[in-house]
Amino acid sequence: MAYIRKRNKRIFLIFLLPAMLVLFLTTIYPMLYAGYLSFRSYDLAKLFVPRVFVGWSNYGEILGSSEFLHALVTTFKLMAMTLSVQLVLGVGIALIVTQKLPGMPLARTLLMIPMMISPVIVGLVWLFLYFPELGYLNYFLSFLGFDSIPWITSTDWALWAIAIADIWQWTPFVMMGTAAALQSLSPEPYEAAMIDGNSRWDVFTRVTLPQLKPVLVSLMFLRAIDAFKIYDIIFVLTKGGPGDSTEVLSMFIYRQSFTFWRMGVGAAASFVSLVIIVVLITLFFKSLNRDQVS
Amino acid sequence: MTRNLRQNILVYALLAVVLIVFMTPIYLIVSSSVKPSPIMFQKPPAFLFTPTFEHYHDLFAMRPFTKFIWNSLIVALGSTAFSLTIGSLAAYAISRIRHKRMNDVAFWILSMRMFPPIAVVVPYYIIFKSAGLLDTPLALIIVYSTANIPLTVWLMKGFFDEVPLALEEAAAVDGYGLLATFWYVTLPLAAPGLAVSAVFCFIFSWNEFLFALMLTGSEAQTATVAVMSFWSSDAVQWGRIMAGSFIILIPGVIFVLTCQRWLVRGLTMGSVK
Amino acid sequence: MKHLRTTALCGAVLLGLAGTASAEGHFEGVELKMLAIGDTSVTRLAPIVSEFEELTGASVQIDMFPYPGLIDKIVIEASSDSPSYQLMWVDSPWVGVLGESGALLDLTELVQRDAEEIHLDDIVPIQLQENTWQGRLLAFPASGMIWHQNYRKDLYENAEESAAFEAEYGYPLAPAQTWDQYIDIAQFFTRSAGETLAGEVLEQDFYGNAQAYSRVAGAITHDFFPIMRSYGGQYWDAETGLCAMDGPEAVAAAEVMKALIPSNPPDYLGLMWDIRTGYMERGETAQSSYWSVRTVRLTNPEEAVLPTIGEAGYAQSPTGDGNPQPTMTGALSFAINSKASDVEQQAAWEFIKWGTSRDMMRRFAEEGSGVSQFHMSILSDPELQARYPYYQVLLDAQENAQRRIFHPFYADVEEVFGVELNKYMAGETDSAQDALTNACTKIDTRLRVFPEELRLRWINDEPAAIFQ
Repeated sequence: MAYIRKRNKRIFLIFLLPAMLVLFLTTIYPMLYAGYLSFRSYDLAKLFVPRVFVGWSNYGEILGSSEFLHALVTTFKLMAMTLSVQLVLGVGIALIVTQKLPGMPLARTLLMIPMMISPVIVGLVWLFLYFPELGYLNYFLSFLGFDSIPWITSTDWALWAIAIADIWQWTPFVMMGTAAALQSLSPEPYEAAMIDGNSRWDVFTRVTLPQLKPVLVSLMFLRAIDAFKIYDIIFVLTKGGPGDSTEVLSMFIYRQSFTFWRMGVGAAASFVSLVIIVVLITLFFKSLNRDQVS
Repeated sequence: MTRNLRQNILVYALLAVVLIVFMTPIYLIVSSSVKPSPIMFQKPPAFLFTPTFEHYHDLFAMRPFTKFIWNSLIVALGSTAFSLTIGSLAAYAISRIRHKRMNDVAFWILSMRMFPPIAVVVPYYIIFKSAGLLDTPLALIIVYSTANIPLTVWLMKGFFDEVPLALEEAAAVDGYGLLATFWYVTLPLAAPGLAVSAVFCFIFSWNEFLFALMLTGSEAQTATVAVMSFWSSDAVQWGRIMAGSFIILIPGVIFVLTCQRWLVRGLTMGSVK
Repeated sequence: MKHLRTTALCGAVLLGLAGTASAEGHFEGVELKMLAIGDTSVTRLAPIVSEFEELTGASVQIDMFPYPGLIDKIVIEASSDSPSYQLMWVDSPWVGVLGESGALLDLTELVQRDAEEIHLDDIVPIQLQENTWQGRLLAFPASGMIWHQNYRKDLYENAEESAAFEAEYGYPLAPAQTWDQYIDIAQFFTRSAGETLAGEVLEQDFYGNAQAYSRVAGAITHDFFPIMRSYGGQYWDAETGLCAMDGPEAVAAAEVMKALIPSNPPDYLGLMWDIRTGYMERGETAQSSYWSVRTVRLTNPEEAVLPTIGEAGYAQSPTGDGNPQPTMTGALSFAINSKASDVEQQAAWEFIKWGTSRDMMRRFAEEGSGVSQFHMSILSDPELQARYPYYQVLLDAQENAQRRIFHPFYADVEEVFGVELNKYMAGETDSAQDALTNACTKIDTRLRVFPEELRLRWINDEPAAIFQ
């Protein structure tokens, strides 16, 4: 490509530099500090001056701990629950609000509101809704003739309760992205498909969905990163309970670091979880690239 | 015709269900913010009551809430502007440099978003303390930018990939330098992407709680922390929290409404990676 | 007393200060910042700090933060060498961890110096002990708490109900003195909508009691400990310094809580602080035990429904066998950062004296919805007692009071017992013994890292040196 000459390449690197530098400078110290901590034992008497070098024992403890494993599994469970529902619901709602009918732009705007609320406040609002007896949710259920559900107080439901609050907040994100993509799809394939006499469902699965795929992958990818770090909603709603049913990785790290003052173990857990997510995302990219090649 | 009518009715019915489900929590915020405290929790919930504005009054009487909203604005706008500037430059470079290592660079930048925030709170506290930046909006702008820059790079790269190279080449032929090409040709075409990135950076910075709690005091406290501070040792002061939540929702809505035209176009282009 | 006065004089001469009278204007230009939450006392003080500023010349800025996360912020602040905050709001169980890390200034000398000015003799001693760590007074009470029971006086005095109760249980209906009675009363008053209560048909369910079983903000452990203590249970093994909260007394307490579930509102596992007290405040439960900081609402029709539909009664917390047993106390207190400069510490102490003084406390009580009091003369004041009938209970309860858990590992205990008790209440752990043994095992794993000598020091409740 003639356009990109040597000199330009250097300028491009200069473009890249500020971002790299800022990110490097702002993350290197915290990362190093956390790395340092992860090899140290805590010392209660001097809270944040860990002195004792303990080698890999913090990592050993994390990897051998059933609590960490449980937290990891719970994180992925929650991720699967929220992402799948957000995907289906987001696409579904996008199909509704992209109909060329009066009132739809307003509906789109209203539906974006949940995304704009702080996750801690989302947690509080849902806490309000979930109170088994005083909350609105069970009141509506009883109104419709259903039994009340022990949302955040039963180990069977609590994870769903967290998932629902997260789904409520972030489905609009998927909806927004999908709606935008839907509106820009070129009409030709549809006309062709319609002429061929395919049913609506066939058109959707064979024509629309493949075109949406890149958008959806991209949206899900961003959601996955955030879902892996989910913290605020759980901190407010259940704090990991009842029992340990909603104890995700972030809560595990929080409890180790701040409740138990075991900053070393918390830091080790952070690195282990970082490795896990990075490996998963690399695999994701690999499989994506293979798809694109084939 | 009847088929169309029936179909429209179905669409509106579904929309009604969706709106009811998604708007109930919003209704809860609004109604609780004007509900007198003794009947805040009641079985069945009180739907009809004489609204009171005491919670709104208390919010401003008991905390310098206007100042906290101002702080939030400075932090959110500051981090958004900063992240967009250097993030889109970096994204442009990544998009244009043809080198196989560029994927790794993009990935490294994105991975900055993946470290659990809870693990870096203490180190950030120590740095800002020694730099004298504790309890200043700048500290939060820096921290939020480490999350916002990767997002901007990720989103903007998609947009720049879509801008036809032919246009840039034409500009180069016309004698535009690289920066001028970027500024006058590429960026306007990717403007919707800037809107999308701006919205997400703004929303994240506006709403963040953990760092805002740990790194600020009375000077730079953000509105989100101030609202949550009505969770006290003996009570969650629901009315005031809901009133505060409603107020801090408004800037976000205004911001999104302003950007909405761009947003729709923006999400379409960029996300098609 | 004479000795105290001499000390006070010496101190004053040495420091060049002499009490408030001459502290006026002495702190011109000193800037104090307080790391606090918006609890009753801080919320009342914040709007009137200008009065203190006029008095002393020091300026005070109170920053209010959410309760969840506050201790994390205090600990991070305490780990820093140059403090941003000179004053800190402290919940009394935190004195262990903060004392052990040397974060708080020892107030002993200051209290001794100003004993008369702060009416030391008039302060309920246990409220001071609450803030003591290894004999050092590390914080000063701003709000004193007692765990006690609230009940529906109007229902207990209803002839029909009390006759029915006596017929069913064989003893007269009165505020429960033992937990067995508490359970009986709870069962007796649990009614469904449609049944009658005190001659009226209920429109909605009525509950026998409202206890908290939620893990959020440690609610369930706060409810568990008073019961465990009232059975005579100990927190720690005096020989080893390890967890003793799985003994028979603790098991009995967990079983009491379990037995109360059927007469609790159905959202028992989600009940936390104000949600639980809400049931009492709306008059939807016959009895409920909690910290006295919220009791004042039961006397105020603007904050609670109950005063408009019935009447609240107050009594000490029940015990295992009806004989006096330790009552749970707590204190919400103000403390001084040990790393603040000398003059800042002096000014901060002036602020604490001003904000917790007897005059200020009386002023709060007279203005209505007062903070939880800790001066004996206020608690026994007949006029105030008429307005706040529970004052007498607070005063009586202090007699057998023993302080709350103050171990540096308090946060672990609250968390671990929260998890395990919560599991037991939810039916996931078979027996109370299993749940408590699990919890103790987890705590001990962490404690065994430390030498026994240290563990024993941590559980030693040395009396505050202020009384020597």
